[in-house]
Amino acid sequence: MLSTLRRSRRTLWHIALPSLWVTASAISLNDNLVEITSVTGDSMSPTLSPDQDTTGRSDYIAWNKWDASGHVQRGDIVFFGLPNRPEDTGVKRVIGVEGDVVVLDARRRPKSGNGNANGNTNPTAGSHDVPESKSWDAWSGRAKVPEGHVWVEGDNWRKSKDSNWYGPISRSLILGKAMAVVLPTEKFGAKPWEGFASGTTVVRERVDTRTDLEVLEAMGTAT
Amino acid sequence: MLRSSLTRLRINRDASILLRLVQRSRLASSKTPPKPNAFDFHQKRTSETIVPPASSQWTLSSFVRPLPDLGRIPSNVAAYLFCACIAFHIFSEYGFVLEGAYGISMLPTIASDGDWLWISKYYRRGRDLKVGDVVSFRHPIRPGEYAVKRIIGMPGDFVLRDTPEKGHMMMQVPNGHCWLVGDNLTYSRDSRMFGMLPLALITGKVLGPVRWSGWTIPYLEKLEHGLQPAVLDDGDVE
Repeated sequence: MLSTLRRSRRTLWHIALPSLWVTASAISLNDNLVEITSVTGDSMSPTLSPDQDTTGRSDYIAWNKWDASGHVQRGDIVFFGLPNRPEDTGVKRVIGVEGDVVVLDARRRPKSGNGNANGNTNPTAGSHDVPESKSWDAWSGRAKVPEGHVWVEGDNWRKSKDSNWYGPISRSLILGKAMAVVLPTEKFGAKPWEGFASGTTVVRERVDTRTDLEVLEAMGTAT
Repeated sequence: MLRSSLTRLRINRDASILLRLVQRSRLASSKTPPKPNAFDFHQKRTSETIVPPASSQWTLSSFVRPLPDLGRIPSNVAAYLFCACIAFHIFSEYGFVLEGAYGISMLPTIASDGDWLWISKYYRRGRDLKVGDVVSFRHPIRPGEYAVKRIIGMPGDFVLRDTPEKGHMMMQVPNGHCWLVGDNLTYSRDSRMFGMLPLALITGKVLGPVRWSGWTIPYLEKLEHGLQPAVLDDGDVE
């Protein structure tokens, strides 16, 4: 009886407690430095998770979480909290940064046919307008990315719910930038997203020296 | 002659005491606790050889003779410091955190010259939040900055887009967003300025500022949500 007690206390000190610390350290590492997640859905095919529909395997990416909302460049793959579903995250490519004017691609106009990013490929489904089509039309083909925001798009224009659906996202939503592929092991360390030529053209204009916030404040005090 | 032999005896005795201290501290870190060992002052060690420790683990401390424990103190301190940092991060990321806030936009709820706010991280990303809660969030326009405002509308609610006297256009809060307004309407930059805020930007709910009673005892001044039940005024009905 005493030896069982002593043994269980020894187990606590030598196995359970170190496991707890290792888990806590892993969580801290995940929050601040590096996190590895899988990329599900077709919105980034064939750059990421190209075999998902056929084999069900998705790619695992290592995300750099240090100062993730810092300097974000066009072409970066980012991991962000979704603006329409706060508990979920999305993986897309940054197409335009603040101040850019994105010339909207007509193929990416929100319809019921595209945007089904999780494998719902019903070819007989009719393609009609959705509520987001109206807000896409309101841009009149040119979307100016406001201060502190970025325009993100998925590489697969047929099946991507991105900024064409929910507009430019705040840079503060970005949780991580892609570092390298971790799994599958054949692609370990690869960066398949580099060198991708997005079909969307972006007009890079110089940002007005007055920030949008200052402009709005000036308008606010004037009234 | 006698003195030198006594000195030698004392040196040997000291050496054996120190050696036993080293062995005991090393045994204490291994599985079984050491048996209490009476110092045997009469045991004469012929030479000052170092006896290998029981766990056959040579460490720096086995060579440092005057103060054998000094070699272990820095590594212990480093380990404890690391564990403290990890524990603090876990607690402040998923539990509660004390954050300083200053500014006039939330007067009179939060002091303008700086208040320490007790924030619960359970409510991050909009979980279980209701109209009237004061929340801290990552600023949508200035990445890296945080702000504190009150929720006026949750998804589905209709909110006034401008200050009440200055406009009457109303908007419906879409899915996954909220409408925030500061308590000091005149001097607050909030959703009237930057629009709907994605709930994913919310980092926690402010339970209240920590104030001091009598300069020594801190207490939490719980914030109310400010909503009042609708009162039916049926004075005209007879």
